[in-house]
Amino acid sequence: MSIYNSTLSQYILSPIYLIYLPSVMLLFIALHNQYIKRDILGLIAVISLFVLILFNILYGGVI
Amino acid sequence: MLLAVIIFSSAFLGSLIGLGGGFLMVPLLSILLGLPIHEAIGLSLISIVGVSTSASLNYVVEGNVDFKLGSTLEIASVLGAIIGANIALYLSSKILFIAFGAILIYIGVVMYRGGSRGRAEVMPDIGRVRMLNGFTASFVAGFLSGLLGIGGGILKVPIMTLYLGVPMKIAIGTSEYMIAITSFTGSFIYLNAGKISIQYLGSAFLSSVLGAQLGSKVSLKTESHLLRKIFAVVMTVFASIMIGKGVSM
Repeated sequence: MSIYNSTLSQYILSPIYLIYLPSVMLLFIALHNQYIKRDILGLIAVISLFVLILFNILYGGVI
Repeated sequence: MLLAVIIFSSAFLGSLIGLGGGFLMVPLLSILLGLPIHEAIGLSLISIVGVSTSASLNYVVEGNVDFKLGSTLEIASVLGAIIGANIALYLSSKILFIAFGAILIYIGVVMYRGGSRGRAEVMPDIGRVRMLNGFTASFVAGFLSGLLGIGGGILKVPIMTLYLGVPMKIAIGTSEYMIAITSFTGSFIYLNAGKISIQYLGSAFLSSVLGAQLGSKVSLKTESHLLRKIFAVVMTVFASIMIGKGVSM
């Protein structure tokens, strides 16, 4: 199954992505933690991480 | 069934000594089960996602995860994992077997010597130069993770305790958080490349979570010092098998 031909709902509901929910949860906890602490640099780091990983998921890497 | 047993055992044994188990999974899957090494690396990364997220959620509850430090270093680690995994797809099995054998020797030596432990008690103020060193080292740890399917805890904890002066408990907790994200990223490359059989995904992930949970409970009651020395010897044996297999290809 190629993710490139899937719609967004298929991404979310696919078992492959559901398996990774715990890791995604960690990122959300990090985001929440940085937001609560109002640590701007930490917040930038977590958001950058989200963007980088999302890019990797959508495009399968940068090379 | 044998795959689930191997992954469960590797996660259990790895958790006994505070590691993800990738250094056991890849040799066992590729030699015992005969899986192609690229598939073994991909499955190992998925299993490490299970091991490290279940472990790191415990550390989050204890308050031993520094999200700011972990997320900052993880940017370099994720970049390294993406590049390492992509490069691994182009490398032959021969080179990967030999490279994995070499890293097992390093892991074995570190385990035998007991690793290096920093003495910090509180979080220090990390300057730019030290952070840059940490960033570079994290990139290398992520690269090796993506390339060889290891979690990288054996590299990331010393990076934080020795380069950055982070207290050991926080370094271990933060490292688990980082490993979950790095492995999560690297495994996508292998999935997208079709190197992982979908039928193995669910059992690999579940087996690793169960193994890690049991391993971490048992580790509280065991003497890790002796275990590490035994593991070091086992790693040397695995290293010679992996290198031998690579050379003979």
